[in-house]
Amino acid sequence: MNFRLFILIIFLAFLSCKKAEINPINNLNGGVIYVVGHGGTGFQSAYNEMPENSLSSITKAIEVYNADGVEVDVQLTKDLNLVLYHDDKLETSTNGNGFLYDYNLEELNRFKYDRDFYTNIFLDEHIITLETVLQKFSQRNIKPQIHLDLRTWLYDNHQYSFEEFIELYTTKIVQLILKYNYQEYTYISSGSSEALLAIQKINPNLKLMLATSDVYGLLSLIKQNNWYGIVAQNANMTKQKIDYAHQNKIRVALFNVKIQSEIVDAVNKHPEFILTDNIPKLQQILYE
Amino acid sequence: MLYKYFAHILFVFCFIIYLSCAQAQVKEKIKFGTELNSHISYSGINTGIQMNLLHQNHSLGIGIKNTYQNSYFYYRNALGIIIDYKYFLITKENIKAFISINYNNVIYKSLRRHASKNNIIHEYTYSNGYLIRLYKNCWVGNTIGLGGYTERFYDYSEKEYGSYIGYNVMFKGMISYEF
Repeated sequence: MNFRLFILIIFLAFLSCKKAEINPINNLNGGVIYVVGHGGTGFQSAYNEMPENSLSSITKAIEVYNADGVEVDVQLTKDLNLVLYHDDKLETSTNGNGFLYDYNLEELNRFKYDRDFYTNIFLDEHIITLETVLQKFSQRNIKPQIHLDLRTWLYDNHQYSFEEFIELYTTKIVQLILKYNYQEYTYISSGSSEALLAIQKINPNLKLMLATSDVYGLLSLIKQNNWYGIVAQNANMTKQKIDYAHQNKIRVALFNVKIQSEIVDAVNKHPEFILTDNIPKLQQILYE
Repeated sequence: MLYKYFAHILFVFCFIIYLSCAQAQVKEKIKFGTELNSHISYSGINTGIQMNLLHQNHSLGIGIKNTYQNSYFYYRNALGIIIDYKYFLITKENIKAFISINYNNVIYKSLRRHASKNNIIHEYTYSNGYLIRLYKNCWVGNTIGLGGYTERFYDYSEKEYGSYIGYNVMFKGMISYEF
């Protein structure tokens, strides 16, 4: 009986190792899906020791994994510097406490990422500025794409009104992109149409992507403003929705794509970008 | 923050215990052994098999390893070599304790659209460990090691090799057999 069970387990293991089936890709990039690291090499986990948005994670995604780009989360500090951090509160990933917007850049430099044992002992990673990344990548021969996720809801409502915040925030972002002549490689996404419109007002040539999976409902808004595309969770997007977006010349970036089944699912929907937490696996499926 | 140096403290603590237990060894002739091990370290989860040459309280092992999972299953089924030296501080009937120097590497394929190059990770650790007799000549044990890694990678943008050097920690479990 035990021997039969053993054979069954081996058989199931073989079945689970079957090669991923990928259909020929048909999208607005001429069949190319860009591999973009979500927060660098992906969100920190037991299998990914680098904290998301840290310099080590972003650098590794580009230099070692050779991703086409990285997606980073941009926030504004109290002294109006643009830094890369995902959450609103510092204690979720660093040894700091409180809201990020309550600190100046110099004060933030005191804190280090310390989410887990490995990070705490072996890494000395701090919150970095967007400028650090743009400066580093602008010197490379092949410039990687930078996808900026605007954290528009993470603002200090005691210091600014939403309108004031949007104006300050978007102006800073556009200034920085232009300073490093990075317009061609920058993709700006936000769920806030106010933020995208504010950026468009400052510079109409930047590539703007609305964070939404409601292609049917928001198509007119996207087309009317001539935005570049949409960013959506893979699970919320069907192949039909993406085909509809493509018919209307709207590009699609999918995120929350990590394990093999999610990657195969996302690739077979033919988006233009996949913001993945598993760069090597996506490359393996796309290129091998 | 209390666990900041936990791994280092554990490592030093074990080392001191082993040193304090060190004893004179009985002379023996050369023996051969084999070891099947599994370890987790910077390169991910690895399995290895090695042949050991044992003489008195020294053991030198050479073998191959297969890295089948890492951060993000990158190096799956990538191969590498293992060179492992152990010095036994305690050799009793049913238990052995040792310090060990371990080098291993893994070569994996770095993928880019229409291109691929080989990257390599070198890992070197200094470990404390013990073996407990399972039956007759068969032993089981584990080690904890600290050290470093060097990852040499091809940067397609700059068309050149670069490298990262960093800290490494290794937890290893093994089954060994002495002929």
